[in-house]
Amino acid sequence: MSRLLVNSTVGALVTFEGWVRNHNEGKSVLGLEYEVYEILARKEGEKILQEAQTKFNLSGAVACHRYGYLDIGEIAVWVGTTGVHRGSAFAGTRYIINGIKSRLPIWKKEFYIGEKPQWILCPQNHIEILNKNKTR
Amino acid sequence: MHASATKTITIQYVAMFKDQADRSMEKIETEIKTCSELYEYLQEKYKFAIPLSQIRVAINHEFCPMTQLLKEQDLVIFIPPVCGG
Repeated sequence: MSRLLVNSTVGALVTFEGWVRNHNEGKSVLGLEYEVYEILARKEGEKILQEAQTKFNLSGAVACHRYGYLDIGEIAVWVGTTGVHRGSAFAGTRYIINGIKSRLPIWKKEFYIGEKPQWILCPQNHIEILNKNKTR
Repeated sequence: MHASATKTITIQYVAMFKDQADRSMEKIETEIKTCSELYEYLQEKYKFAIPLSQIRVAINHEFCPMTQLLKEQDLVIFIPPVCGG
């Protein structure tokens, strides 16, 4: 995907890959199933990319989140940004992955050995957004 | 049309709500006025465990406040705490 960002005017590319790991909160994890509310996720994702480009003066920004069942070690999310210098690209990539995790309507169900699969709750994400909305 | 009039709305369920309600979508006729009142109704009906304070809502594929009034033919999706990445 970094080929999408090739540009002879930039001096830095910073990428982030989120991988499916084999444990979470003391439990052995077999895999993850992601569900995406795609229409809204795409709209909100575009907003995050545009915000990052403006805020950090990026030359380019691309992100992708997979859905469905993923095995351990598979890439779940990929983010790449480019800038004239490395500082903006590091900051831009961090801003985008944080936005993906806290704002996109995506949910994950963990699968374990000998236990029922379980949806993972990250209520902190919503509480932050709801509090921000209250202060606007 | 008066806001309290009976209207037909569609509710789409995602993630844990889909599992708990055992359906991905349903159409209801209701006099419920707001999104928050609708969530409380569904919470009671399907025993959703997540409190209203942690839920967001989208109507017709746009985020909106829980106080939003429901209209005829709205598509409502309650969004439990997100967990991407």
